[in-house]
Amino acid sequence: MIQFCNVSKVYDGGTQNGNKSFVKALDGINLKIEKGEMVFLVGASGAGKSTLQKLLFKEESPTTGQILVGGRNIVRLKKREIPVLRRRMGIVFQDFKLLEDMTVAENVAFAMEVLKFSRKEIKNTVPKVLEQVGIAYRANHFPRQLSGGEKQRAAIGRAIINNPPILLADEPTGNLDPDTSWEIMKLLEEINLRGTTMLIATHDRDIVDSMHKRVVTLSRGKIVSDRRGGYSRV
Amino acid sequence: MLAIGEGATPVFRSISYYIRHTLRSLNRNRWMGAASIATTAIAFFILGIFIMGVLNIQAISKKIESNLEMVVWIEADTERSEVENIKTYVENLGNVTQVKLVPKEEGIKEINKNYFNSETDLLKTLNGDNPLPDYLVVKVAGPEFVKDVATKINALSNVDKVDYGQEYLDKLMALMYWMRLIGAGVIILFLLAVIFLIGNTIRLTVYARNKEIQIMRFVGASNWFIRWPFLLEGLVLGLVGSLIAASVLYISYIVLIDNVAKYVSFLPLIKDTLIVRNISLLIVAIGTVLGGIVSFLSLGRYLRL
Ligand SMILES: Nc1ncnc2c1ncn2[C@@H]1O[C@H](COP(=O)(O)OP(=O)(O)O)[C@@H](O)[C@H]1O
Ligand SMILES: [Mg+2]
Repeated sequence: MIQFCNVSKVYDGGTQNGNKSFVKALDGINLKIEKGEMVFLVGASGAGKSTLQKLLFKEESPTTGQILVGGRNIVRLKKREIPVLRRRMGIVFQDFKLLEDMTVAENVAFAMEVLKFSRKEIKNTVPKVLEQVGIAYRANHFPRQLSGGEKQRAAIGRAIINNPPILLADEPTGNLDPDTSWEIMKLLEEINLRGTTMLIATHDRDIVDSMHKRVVTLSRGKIVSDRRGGYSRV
Repeated sequence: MLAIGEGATPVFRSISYYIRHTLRSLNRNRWMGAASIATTAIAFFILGIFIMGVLNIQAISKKIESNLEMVVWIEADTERSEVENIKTYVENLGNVTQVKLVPKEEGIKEINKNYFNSETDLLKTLNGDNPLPDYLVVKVAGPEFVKDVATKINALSNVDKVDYGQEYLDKLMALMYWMRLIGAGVIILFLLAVIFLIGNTIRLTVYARNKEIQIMRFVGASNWFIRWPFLLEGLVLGLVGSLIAASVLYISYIVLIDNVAKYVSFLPLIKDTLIVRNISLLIVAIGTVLGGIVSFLSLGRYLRL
């Protein structure tokens, strides 16, 4: 489903003391994720987790290497093909990215609207999805009226609205307390069990340890461990 | 896996989306929007005035150019026999087709008839002393001969002065030159202001809707779907501004012509409302297109997709 071949990413770090500086965020990444897998991407802050995900949804392009998504090389996608790629993946962020002037239902409906679903489809799908992510009872509340966990449920609902085969989550529990984090992880696991391939960046050691999934550990842009089970202690 | 095309709907649903979001952001930026509209209206109103002014001056100069007549004023105390001599001389000049002598007796009668009521006897009021000179009305074969013939006649003794329209033509041309120069300058300044203000409104909208744009990008909205509301916003600003300008221009020109034309009946002003109407429509078209172009260009600068 997802494959990285020798991928490196060097950011332009601006100039320091008159010298151009570069940041090597990813260095020779080789990674293969099968359809239906749930993979945790762990590592210290600055290890390159977000960069790896951004390469997948084409927010950044790799400096070298190839990336395959669903069998297709995405390195040289044309600008107008990027939206098509993104429609095949749900993206979840640490800060939820909900629109404050819309209710939960409207936030989810908005995503369907910009993907040009019909009004009827929107009306039918939104309640089902809100039910699925356990936020139906807050459908008509605004984000400011919700707890962090509720906001993340709404954001996950929005991400899976068109049944994407892939879901990327960047520190989805980063702003949540441990109990709520656990609930959100369980929700993501449920979604994964319905067939969605999942790559979750986090540094929440306890959760990763208790989920017993594949864990890929990054350190300074390199994969230092890739194994089933718990957080690696490198 | 859901195929991409699924769920695509007829265009009109997107149109309702675009309109709602355009109205929303116009409302959000209403002061900036109002400033853009006002400046656009002023710019295009001035443009309209200058176009109408230039068209009218062109009509007037055409009329003057086609005028083949000139008036030769004889010095007041010249003997009638000498005047007859001048007339004969002028008649024999090349390219002169007609010469008519208007003696001062006739001249004063004309004035009496045209400017006073029938009871007044102007000559009597002046104690029989007629202050008018005799004059000749000279016609030439074509507009290109006017200047040459006038110069020759002017050289005669006892000729006070030769009046012919083309004299004014030079002044009119000079006026037109300055009008065009100043007009172009003023209009360019205002258009720059329009470009700046509409561009800035779009920039503010892009910033205000930054989060919305991000979400649209991440869920996979097409680039044009994201762009359209912004383009529409610029189009609407240009349309409303130039519509105001065109309406004010159209109405005020018609009112002006209705009220002024009869007092200056000697000027061939453009009374055909079709011309003002077409220029008004042209202004609306240019304004709308300009609004669209400006927002397109500022999207290129501020909207990273
Ligand atoms: N846009 C950018 N420009 C320059 N450097 C960047 C940029 N984004 C990330 N980096 C750098 O790349 C490295 C990896 O960052 P990131 O992928 O965000 O790590 P993580 O998500 O694991 O914390 C860091 O050193 C970070 O400072
Ligand atoms: Mg990160």
